[in-house]
Order: sequence, then C-alpha cells, then structure tokens
Amino acid sequence: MSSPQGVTIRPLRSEDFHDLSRGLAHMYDELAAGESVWITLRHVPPSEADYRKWFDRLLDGMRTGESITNVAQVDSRAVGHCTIERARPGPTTEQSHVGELGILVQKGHRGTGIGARLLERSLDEARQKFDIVYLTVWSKNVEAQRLYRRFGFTLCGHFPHTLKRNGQYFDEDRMFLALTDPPGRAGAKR
Amino acid sequence: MSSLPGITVRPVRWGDFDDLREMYFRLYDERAAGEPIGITLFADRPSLADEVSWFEGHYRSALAGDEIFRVAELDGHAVGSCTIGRFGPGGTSEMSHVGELGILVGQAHRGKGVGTALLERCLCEARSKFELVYLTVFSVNTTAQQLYRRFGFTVCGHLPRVIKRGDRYFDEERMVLDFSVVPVGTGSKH
Repeated sequence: MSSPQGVTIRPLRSEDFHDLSRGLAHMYDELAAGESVWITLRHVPPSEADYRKWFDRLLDGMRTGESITNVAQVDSRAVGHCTIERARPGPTTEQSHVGELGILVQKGHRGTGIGARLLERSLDEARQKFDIVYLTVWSKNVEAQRLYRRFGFTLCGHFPHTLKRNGQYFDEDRMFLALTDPPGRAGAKR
Repeated sequence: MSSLPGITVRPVRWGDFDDLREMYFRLYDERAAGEPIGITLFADRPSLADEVSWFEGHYRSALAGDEIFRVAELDGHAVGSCTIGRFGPGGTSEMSHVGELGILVGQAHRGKGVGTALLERCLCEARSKFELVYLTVFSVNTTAQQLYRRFGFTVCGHLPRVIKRGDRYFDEERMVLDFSVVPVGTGSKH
C-alpha cells in the first residue's frame, strides 16, 4: 500500500465543515463538467443548511458513538473523509451491529492512496463497535471496488438501475466485510 | 391465489392508527415467544409516542403523494398494511425513481391472501409512481419470497448477518421488480 506524503488521518473536527461541504458541493461541478462522479447526487444541490445538518450529524455521531468519521488532512486542508455509521441510527435495533460505510476523496487527491489510509484507520476503529460493515458502490466504479476487495470486502448484491442520471440508468453493488467470526467459529484461524 | 372474501384494500386513514399499532406491538410478543417473524424490530418495543411519530410521518408522505400507503380491511379493522416509499434522502435525487416496499399482515390473518391483495393493489399503483420497486426479506422467510416472486420480483442480493436477534444472526435477501421488464401482473398463478 502506498503511503502518501504529508497526509494525516485524524478524527473529524468542527472546523472541517467548510472543506468537507465544499468537497461535496464540488461533485456537482464535476458532474456538470462531464466528469465521472460516483456518488449519488440530488436533483437540486443541497443548501448550506442541508450540508450543515449532514455535518452536524457526523459530528454528533462522534460524540454519541453512533458513528466514526476520519478525515484525511493535507496542508491543513481536509481533502477526504470516511464515515462508518450505525445502520438505522437512533434506538437500538436488530441492525445496530451493522456499520454502513461511506467514503469520499476530493478531486486532485484521488489515486494517491488516501482512500486506503482512511479505510485502514476507520475499519480498525469499527472493530470496537460493529460486527459487520456494509457499503454500496456504483457498479461502474471498479477502482473503488478493487480497493474495497483489498480490505476483504465481498460482493453480496448487484442492484440494477437504482440510479438514474441524465436519463441513463446505473447499477449499484453491495459489499460487506465481517469484523467478527460467525458464532461457533470464535477464534478460528482463516 | 384469490384473496379472502370480505377483504378491502384501501388508502390508509388516520383512524387506522390503533389497529396498525396493535399489529406492530404484537410482533414484539411474537418475537419474545420465539416466533420466526421476518421483520426487523427495535431491541425494545418503542413507546406509543414513537409509534405516533412513525404513523404521522408515513401518513403525511401518503397525503403528499410521495408514498403509497394502503391497508387491508376486514370486518371494519385494518389487518395488514403495505407502504411503498421513495428511495433516498429528502428532496428528489438520482434514486427517486425507485420505491422501497414494506408489508405487514397481522398474525391471525396470515396465509389467507391478505398479502396478495395488498401487493396487487399497491404494485398496480406503484407503476405510475416508480420505475422499480425494491424490498428486503429475511432469507428464512421463504413463504414471503414465494409470494414476491409470483409478482415478478427477483433476488438481486444475499446480505449475510444483517440481523442480530438475541445472539443469533439472520441473513436477508434483496429483491427487485423492474416495471420496464415485468408486464402488468396480478400475482395470480399461471
């Protein structure tokens, strides 16, 4: 695994709001510029208040333990983040042992190994919290899938046409990574 | 399968709250009794206030036309319900053409065609609102899967260990119905 120079992986902080919300907002510009964007977008870009709500939830999750968010910092700027959030936040459910992973590395920093660093740290922390981690990835985003596989994620679903962009349909893949051994196999060596 | 005589499928009314709440709360008794119920529950039974919030949210969405919410009525009582809600976050997104289906039939009325009647009506209505409908079902709930298959649903994912009931894990199947592929159907046996 390449180790990018000058990158710090650290927990989310309140001052990251500007960098992370700009990073997300930039995805709308990338799409408009005809670039490949592999995150699901809204028809109307989120407002400042929407971004604030999203960010506050992540920040709150750090405090309550509902989620883990790590940030990749380069030259005092947050250029990527990875969140693993309890499935169905709120009161404990029969899915509270499941973490849902989301990751975004901003343009200009992709392909540099930042995603791997973010995943490494976040999955390590997730072991204290979740039995299993799930994620959804655009089927066309084969590079991301390769990265996930390198961390042990396995494909468990292919969801056709869940996305519609400019009249064209796209599929999604669902992947999972078990963080604990299934019952009866505790301590088993793989 | 013909449905039970006397069953009417109609849009939800505010007055259905008590029947639906009772049906839902009874699932917690069924779970405690070790019945194999195929619905994801909270660890503890939610409060009455939680249920009012749940019902209000879905009722509002149904009134706004964002969601399909119908009940099966028998002898003046709601004995089953079916919702098909819009995918994705608030506002419309690249997932808004997809509906997510949830269905519940009261314990005393299962195996009588209530589910068939609900699905028939709701999927018919969903055609003018969504392009695809997705659902999740416990892998062990083969009866329900058989019913869904009759309506044209196909399995598109097998999600291991997404449910933890007590210290036991359960898997789920993800199924999809693509209206552009599956012709108008009623779920009747051919």
